[in-house]
Amino acid sequence: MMKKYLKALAIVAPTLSLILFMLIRNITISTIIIGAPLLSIFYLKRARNPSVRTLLLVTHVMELLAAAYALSGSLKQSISQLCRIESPVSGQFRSALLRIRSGVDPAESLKAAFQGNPWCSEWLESLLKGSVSDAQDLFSAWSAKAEEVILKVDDLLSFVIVFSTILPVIFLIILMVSGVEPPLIYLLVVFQLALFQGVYHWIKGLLSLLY
Amino acid sequence: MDKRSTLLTLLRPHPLGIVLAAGLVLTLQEHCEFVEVLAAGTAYLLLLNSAFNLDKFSLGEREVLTTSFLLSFAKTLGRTSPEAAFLRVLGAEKRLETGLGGSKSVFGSGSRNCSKVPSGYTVAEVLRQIRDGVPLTVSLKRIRGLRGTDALLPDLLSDLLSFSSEETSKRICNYVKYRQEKERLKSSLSLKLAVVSLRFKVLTLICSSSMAVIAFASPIFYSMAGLRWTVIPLGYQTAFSFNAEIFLPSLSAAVFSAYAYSKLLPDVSGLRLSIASASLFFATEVALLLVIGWHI
Repeated sequence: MMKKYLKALAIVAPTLSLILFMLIRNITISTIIIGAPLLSIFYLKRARNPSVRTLLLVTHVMELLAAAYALSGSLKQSISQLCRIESPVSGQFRSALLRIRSGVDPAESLKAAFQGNPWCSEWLESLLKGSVSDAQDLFSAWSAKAEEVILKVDDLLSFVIVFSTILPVIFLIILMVSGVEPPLIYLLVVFQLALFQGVYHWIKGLLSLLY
Repeated sequence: MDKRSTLLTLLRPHPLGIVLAAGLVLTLQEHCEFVEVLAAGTAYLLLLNSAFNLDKFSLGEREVLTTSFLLSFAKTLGRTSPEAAFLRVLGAEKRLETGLGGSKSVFGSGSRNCSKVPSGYTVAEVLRQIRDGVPLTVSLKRIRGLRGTDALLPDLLSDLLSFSSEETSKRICNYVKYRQEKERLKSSLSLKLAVVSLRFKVLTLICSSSMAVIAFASPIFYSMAGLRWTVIPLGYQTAFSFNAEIFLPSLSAAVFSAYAYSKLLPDVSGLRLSIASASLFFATEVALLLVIGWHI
């Protein structure tokens, strides 16, 4: 928590002082140029891009299950091992293990643990309907989903790259045509910076999936 | 990483950040007071550091136990005790490595691409424990700090070995299949990233060159806004001469774009691309000044 706070402070404090300095000079242009990327980042953060996030988490759960099942050969033991490793879904695996210990069937307890997350319970429902007899079933399901993630990553990266190279050119022309004084062209770098900070963590999360 | 080192990473001056901030200071010094220039320059430098000191996306860590080791171990398990199988396979791998030049390791260490091998988990330590008479099932249980799905390996292998060597062998083969599938997916992603990287390099250079053209033609754009940088009152000769006030911010924008976004692509060297981008910017500007200046 503290780490996030410090990181945010280290970025926000200089941004604010720079914005303040810029605002004194040309209030309308500064507000539009700085406000637009900040609003878009705020929107992205708020929406949390459910489709990409969903895809990411489903693939993560699938991979963990496939690997654990390949090694242990039993769902119960896989779940028990998956509770011990650090992951965003460790909590769900722990709750599944508690259910198993109280006598519930492993497949059922897994479904129940992910009940609140429609993205995962749907996949588990179809996969665990008595069809998991071999680790290969889990591999195929995971592999298909991971292929989908790769395509998504490819699309997103292409979009970001085009955006990052073409947008500065367009903005530079807009700034000049609007009559913005030369020192304020540095707002273009501030704009790019705000955009980059937003895009970086989002894309990195996706890329780290398969590495 | 603790909070202190996180903050230090963000505040650590980045060489490129210093160069770009110096550009801002140079541009502002004629327009603002000393205190304002200092405040804006410092804030700008901190902002740039926060972006430039972010970790570059890398190709990730190599497996702690290599696939070839796991396969050989699975094959040898049925014929001998787990400890003997482990030692034999380790010996064979070492001989192979020596033959190949000794750059690879069963435990993934020693390779340039491989990053951190968790502390306390070395070949020597596992070997020492086995030679001290500690069963493999126990020494495997002591291993901690592995990442990703490899974190599952020691405990599950240990449980399986206590149950049956044959079952362990079968299960290791299953795990290797998973690894191979993951390798296939990784190479598919790498291929796509290589295409995106190439596209990024080309587009960055085009962007840099275009920014130089726009910076050179700025009098034309400013004339649309009717400001003092218009072509008519100054005359073509003066208007199309070198203007550091426009040149420096445009160059900064081009270099920032090249360096920052290269952090998302593993095959792109940010430093080299930003140097290429700056050089092309300079070259375009100089070429335009010479050619058009000569004609005017």
